[in-house]
Amino acid sequence: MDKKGKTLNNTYIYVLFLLLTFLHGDIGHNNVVYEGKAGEIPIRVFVKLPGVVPGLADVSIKVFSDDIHKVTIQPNKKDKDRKSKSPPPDIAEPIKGEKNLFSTQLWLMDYGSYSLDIRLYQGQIVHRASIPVNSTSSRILEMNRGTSILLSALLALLFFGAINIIRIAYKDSTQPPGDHPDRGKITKSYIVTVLSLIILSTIIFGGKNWWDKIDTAYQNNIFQTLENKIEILDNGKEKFMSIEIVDELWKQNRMSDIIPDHGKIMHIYLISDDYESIAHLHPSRTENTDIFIVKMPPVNFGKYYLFMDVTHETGFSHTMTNKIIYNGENVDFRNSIENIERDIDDSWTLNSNENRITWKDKKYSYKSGDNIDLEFQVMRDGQPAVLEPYISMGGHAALLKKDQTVFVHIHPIGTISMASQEMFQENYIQSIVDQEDICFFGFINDSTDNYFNNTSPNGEVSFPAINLENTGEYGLWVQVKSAGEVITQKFDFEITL
Amino acid sequence: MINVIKNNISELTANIPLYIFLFLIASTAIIVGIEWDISWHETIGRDKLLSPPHVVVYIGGIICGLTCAYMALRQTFVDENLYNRYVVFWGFKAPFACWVCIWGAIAMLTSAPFDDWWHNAYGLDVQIISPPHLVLAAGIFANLMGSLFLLIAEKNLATGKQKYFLELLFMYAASLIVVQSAILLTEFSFHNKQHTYEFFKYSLTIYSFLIVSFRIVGEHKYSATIISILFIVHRCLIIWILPLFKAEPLLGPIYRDIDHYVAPYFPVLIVAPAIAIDLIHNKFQKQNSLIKPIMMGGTFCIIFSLVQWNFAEFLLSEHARNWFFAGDNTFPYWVRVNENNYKFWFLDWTPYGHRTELERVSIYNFGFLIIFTIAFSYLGSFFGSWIKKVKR
Repeated sequence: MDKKGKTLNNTYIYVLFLLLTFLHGDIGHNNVVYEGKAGEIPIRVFVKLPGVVPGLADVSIKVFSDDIHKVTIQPNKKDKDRKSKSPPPDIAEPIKGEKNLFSTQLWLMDYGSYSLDIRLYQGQIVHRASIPVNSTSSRILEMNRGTSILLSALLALLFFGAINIIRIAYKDSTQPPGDHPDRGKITKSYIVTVLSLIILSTIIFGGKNWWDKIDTAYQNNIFQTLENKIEILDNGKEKFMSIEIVDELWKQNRMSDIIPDHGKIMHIYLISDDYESIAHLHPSRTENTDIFIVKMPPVNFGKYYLFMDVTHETGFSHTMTNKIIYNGENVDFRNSIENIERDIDDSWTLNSNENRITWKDKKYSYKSGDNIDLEFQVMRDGQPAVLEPYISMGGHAALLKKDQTVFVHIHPIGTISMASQEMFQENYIQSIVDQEDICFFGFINDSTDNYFNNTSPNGEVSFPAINLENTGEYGLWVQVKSAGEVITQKFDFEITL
Repeated sequence: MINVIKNNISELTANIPLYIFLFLIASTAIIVGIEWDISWHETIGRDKLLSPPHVVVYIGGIICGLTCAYMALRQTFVDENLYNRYVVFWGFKAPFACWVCIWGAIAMLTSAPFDDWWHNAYGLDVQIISPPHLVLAAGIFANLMGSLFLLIAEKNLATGKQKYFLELLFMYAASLIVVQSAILLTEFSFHNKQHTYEFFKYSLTIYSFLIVSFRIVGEHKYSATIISILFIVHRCLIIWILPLFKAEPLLGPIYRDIDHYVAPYFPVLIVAPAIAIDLIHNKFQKQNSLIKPIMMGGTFCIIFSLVQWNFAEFLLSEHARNWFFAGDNTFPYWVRVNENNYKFWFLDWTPYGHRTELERVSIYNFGFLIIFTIAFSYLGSFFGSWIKKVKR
């Protein structure tokens, strides 16, 4: 049984693990945070996803109101033919010693996108919010030493116990009480022992092979980034980047089409391998719906990592990854490409020497699992900047571990995909059109309008606190918009044990 | 009249040790607990360590484990002649059955942390056949086999009416092993799969092995028939009783309107081949030990296939959609309501969503079924001949 440890040490699997795209527009980060409103009540929701299917998600809800007497959560899955029902809601229990903090565990039974329907009961009023989460296999669990030793010891006891039982069964069990087996039977009992040793070893070996097959099937089922092809194109006037989704799942129509997330069909972060320059780009879809194209930003030649966020019609959102070497040689000249206008919200910065955003209480080093507060002060001409929405948000932040195993795109409302949330809300509203007895104060209005409210006139912008498990060096790029200008600033920090 | 019955029962049970009843109660609790647990998963879905079916299984395991441990300690350290027989296991003395049951209890215990880790690593399993579940099944089988060995040894050493009563208890213990096998075969035995080669292959090999071996051990003229009837009655009682209780799915997505417990599949009609096995056994008492399993295996295969093939068609028909056959109440909450619900299935899906074809029964592979059934009847005959002699 402790063979699992060995299996998991396999280099191939480790490399595979590093390359996997995990969850809800993030890579290597198993949590979902949402900071917004349920109806009129501000809430902060933290979901620790199980990483296996079916699995148990830990959900905690901080309610910024003192008169909420009950909180429930119901997992809803979008069903193509709308024939399925959701289980009854779970009651989130208040945490002892904490004010207005509720938590529960929630089973996510199926693969795909779920909406966690949160209801806050305030007297007769019910406030609701919908938090989209992805349910996928994303985790490879190594057996810990304690469990491994315990199971190995029990297996050894069972193995040698079984051999002894078979020996006794042959030698003694059929003897009348008081009789002793003769010498011939005793001798033969050793042969039986050897035979049982061989048979039981074969069973153990067969069991191990079976386990390995299940393990391989599980690992093959871990959701991986959609395979994509990146090309740099030149029409003689401008350079463009083309992104083609070439994954079999996509080509065979086994994944639903993608939908715009806060107005953009795809959000790309292009980050140089020295982590100095970054571009936030929004390609357009071409007539060939597998291909997306965007005007290249004026970045220097070099190696770049790409992180491409997309949301599907089912509400499932994820990040595709790739890397390119951008130089004069690998540009493909194609006169046929029409000039494409640069998206109004495309932005980039070529150096990290900006100093207009201050990370409040920033430390260089954080402990693994610590809550990292993400509160920022933006200055303009020595004065607090008046912030305006940037792509429907008060701010954007991209967090990248410098070995590319963790990537998180976060907004002031958290890490959720807004497109997914809106899709689920529309789905929900559609489903209750005829059910007048259901009260959903504030729910319908709690749509994109709220995403805009996170701007401030005093230059302050904050994102939900995040905690990171994986140790190493990280880069965080914060982007805000003020007086029509996108201000981008990079911060470095590390996570230690 | 009542006094006569009372006296007869007292006479039958006199001098039958209490531990025999404890073993049988424990075995029954474990089996019923597992059946309830499967229905719980199919109906309610939400699992926890101390769910009521789990508690019933634990109680069975604890009764069995503690009884065996008590017997072993008493016979080792207090009085080695306490139970008129024993075998020595790593220096400890107890009846042979106790060691088999203790092994079973340890296997059941091992499966708990293994299954827990399995759920964390691969997700909650909604399938019955998984490595930790097979460790649990091995433990349960060991407990049931231990009870069987205990009864065989007791009846081998008993005389008169007690021997007759112990024979009845033996048949009951044997029927529980058939039930446990039927539980393990659940995923291959859905009504819709009962025309697949896979269903016949596993059913014929396992049931023929058990029925032939128990036939060899049994001293009653119709042991195989009675064991099969006890098995069918047990499963029918579960099918009839479980759906009387209200329950609703607590996990989703939910594709069916379920408000009572889901029933297991209707038991396979092994009573038909079992009658033939009894007749062959009684008619050819002195037949060669190689020829007899061939006769038994061949007959078992043909009768079982003919009966179950047609019965499966009935189970999918409208006539079986009632409380008695539960033809419409065996689907878990996650199975979609569609036109395939009452058709035979020849494809399956792996836990990770991959489609697999299921082989159909044909004239060609039916030959293999006969060969397999004969082979397992031979093994059953060999196994039965040995356990029949257990006296310790």
